[in-house]
Amino acid sequence: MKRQRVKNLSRIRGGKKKPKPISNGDDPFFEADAKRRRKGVKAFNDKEELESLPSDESEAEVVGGEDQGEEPEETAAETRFRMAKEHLERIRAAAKKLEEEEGGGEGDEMNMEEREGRRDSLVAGILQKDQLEASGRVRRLIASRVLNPEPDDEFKVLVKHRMSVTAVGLAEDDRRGFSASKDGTILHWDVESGKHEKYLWPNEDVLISHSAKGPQNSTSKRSKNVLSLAVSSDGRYLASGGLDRDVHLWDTRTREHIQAFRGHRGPVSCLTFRQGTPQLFSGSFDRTIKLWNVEDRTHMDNLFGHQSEVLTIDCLHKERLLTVGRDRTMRLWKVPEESQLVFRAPASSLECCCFINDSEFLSGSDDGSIELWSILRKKPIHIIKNAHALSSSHDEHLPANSKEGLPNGNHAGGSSTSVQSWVSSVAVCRGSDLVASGAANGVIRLWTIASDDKSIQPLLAYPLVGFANSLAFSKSGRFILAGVGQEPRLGRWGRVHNARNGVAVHSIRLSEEHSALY
Amino acid sequence: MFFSIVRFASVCVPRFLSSPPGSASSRPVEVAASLALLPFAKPKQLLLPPTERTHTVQFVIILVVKQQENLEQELAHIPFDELQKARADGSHVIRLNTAYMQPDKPGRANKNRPMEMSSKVRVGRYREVIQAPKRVVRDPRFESLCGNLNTEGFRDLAEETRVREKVPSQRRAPVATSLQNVVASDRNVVASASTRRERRRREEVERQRRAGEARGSSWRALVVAPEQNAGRVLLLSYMPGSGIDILSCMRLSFLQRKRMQKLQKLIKKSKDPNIIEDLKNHISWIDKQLKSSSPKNIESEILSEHIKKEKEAAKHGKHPYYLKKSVIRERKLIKKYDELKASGKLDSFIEKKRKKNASKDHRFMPYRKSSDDVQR
Repeated sequence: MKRQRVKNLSRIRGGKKKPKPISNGDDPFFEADAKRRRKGVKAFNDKEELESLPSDESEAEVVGGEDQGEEPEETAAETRFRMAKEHLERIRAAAKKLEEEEGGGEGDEMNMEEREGRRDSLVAGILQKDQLEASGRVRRLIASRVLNPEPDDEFKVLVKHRMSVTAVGLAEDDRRGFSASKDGTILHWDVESGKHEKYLWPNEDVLISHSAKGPQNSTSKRSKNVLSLAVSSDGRYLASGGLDRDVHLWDTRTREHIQAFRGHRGPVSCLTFRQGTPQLFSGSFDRTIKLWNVEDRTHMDNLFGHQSEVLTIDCLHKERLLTVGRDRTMRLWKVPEESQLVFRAPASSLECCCFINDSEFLSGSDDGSIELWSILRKKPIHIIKNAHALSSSHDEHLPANSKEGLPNGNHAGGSSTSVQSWVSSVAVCRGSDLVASGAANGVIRLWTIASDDKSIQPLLAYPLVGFANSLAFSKSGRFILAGVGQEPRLGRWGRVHNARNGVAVHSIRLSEEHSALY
Repeated sequence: MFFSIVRFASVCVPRFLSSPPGSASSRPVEVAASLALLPFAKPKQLLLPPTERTHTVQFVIILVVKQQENLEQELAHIPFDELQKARADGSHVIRLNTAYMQPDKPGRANKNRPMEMSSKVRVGRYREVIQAPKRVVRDPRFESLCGNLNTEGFRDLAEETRVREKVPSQRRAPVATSLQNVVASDRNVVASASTRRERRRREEVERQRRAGEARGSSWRALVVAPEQNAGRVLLLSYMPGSGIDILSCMRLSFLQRKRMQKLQKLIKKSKDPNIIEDLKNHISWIDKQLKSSSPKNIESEILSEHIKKEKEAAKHGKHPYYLKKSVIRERKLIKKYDELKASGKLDSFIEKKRKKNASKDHRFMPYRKSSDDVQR
């Protein structure tokens, strides 16, 4: 009873202040995991030592080892408390060290207590700032710290794919990335080293047993074309959706297919997880958005409203979705209240969207323009036209006079009507004002969201050849990943022959923050 | 903020529950106790445990963060079978505060806010994918805001544009409200008439411009673009039904005559034979224009004269009379007679008419001899 209540508590609480171990119910596998983590490194080492002994001895020893190491079970609350204390101690120590470095001699007049008090208030300030930034209430000002790229800084291909990459995802710890391409290859790779591992598709029979839907025409093969990927916040689940109308769920640790969710009547074009929860949202060409739960492996809900295909979906901590579609609207769905807000774009279908924070959104459309929206206005509050114009001269580091005097923003000097100008992806560095947009005109543009006048200002342009079908920022803003292909994500309207299919990474140079304490 | 423990079906009542057991079946929801706990963010869901628990003890725990008084009211709106179906694993949740539960909102606070719609209404097969603006067709003939058509004014306007297309010099200064403008524009004509080729080019450009304007001009207003040299904008506004007829104030022939005088002066001044020749042609052309006044206008001229006279008389109290068609025909004839007499062509005209009539009457002349003559 007590356990259950604790479980419900943990599910309800939205943003978490301190990191906590993932307690996943009564599954014995995960309980053991938590225990091991709790005991720290020591127990793990014991187990390793024990495992290295010959088998019959080791069994007894292993059991004994387990018995010896077992403590009274720690509830999630106690774990959280302990970890919070450790975190606090660390910060206190760092603050103390800094204080000693700065003011060595003058501390004699003050008491120890006064000094401690001052240090603690400093620590409290730091903790509060961290919490605000993590929860997204205060925007991190990263864009002002971005430096110009060095000459040897460029997009390096991290992982190669055979066909165009359609989706790129990044885990919460910024160390592992996921990518999928048009031929159905799904890989996960380490960002530093580039070592990748493939996710193997099971047989058709296995898929059917995992409740996948067969192809519409019984004679044709199942299309493995993956259009979208999503990673859960705990990094355990990977969801993929494509032309075969199913949402496939993969386990990231074993790289195995867990289950397929059937229900969509058209290709699944976009997926997203709600941050911190096991809720998965999928949007499809059949104009519906479906809500799934990956823990319980069930279908939860349907959302209707789009008049044409849904192309991109995004979600933050709250149960609010942002979707864009070919019907030229962007919709904000309030899932618990079963209502939606409709935002209308000027005369062009929207291709991609993202949340900047709970009340500001960004979208890219297929006439080459980028729009900034607010929740209070039905039309965009700032539009940048011709953001990815195809220029006849390949001068990508734009001088200041290339912007013409249109009221909002216009990068003139090239046509924006071809497929290479469609803004196929926008990405924002979480909780900050740094935004990137990608198309196929050879450049990934970085923008900043000015907070005072709510406008988009251009920042930098990184050259990249090919269709940037998907972008992903790291949490720290230190690098950006681009899923590059020779063809656009949803079709074959154009082709860039000299592009390399794969995932490219570009590091972003940031000037150091002056208030770095630890 | 508190946790509420709510009891559902008939169970044995723990001591801390306030109500007696018998009433449990009749009132499905009872708020029994409150436990003060740490404040949490507000969820809007009712989470209920799965029904695999024992059927005798069915405690339902609802985690609702609200005042005790409102809870009963909120839950009373939910039908009981919905509450029973609800599950704690989240497969069936009861959503409070949904669009269905709320009474109809009066609308957006501000028209610039996005539209709020329900997300549970399925989009059908026959749907509007793109919201295209409806083209409103406004026919000025049947629109009450446009007023009534003043055919006189319209005709004068049309004539003016037609004349303007053909007469280059007149294009430079269309019908203006003051004579000074006319004179000034002619000065421009004088100044800019340099070479033939230049003039022809200018004529072409102007003709196209005017043609475009004439095509696009509605019979409501005509804005004359600023001249290249003059830089003035002359607005000719035509107000239907108002009775104001700016164009008919200035007779076209009067203007043309004025221009002719100017042109003749020019001829005397200029030395270049080419220019003289051009100007002479121009003058002769204007003469022809003057002579060929179209016959359509005669009737309307008569009518307008009559109307003017009646208006004058009406001021003195006379009741205005409508002019009959027969009277108009008569007057036309009289006008023609006067014209012919003035130009001296009356005799020849009458002669021609007589001959024509005679030749037509000739067919009624008897040509066979009578029976008396044959017998004799």
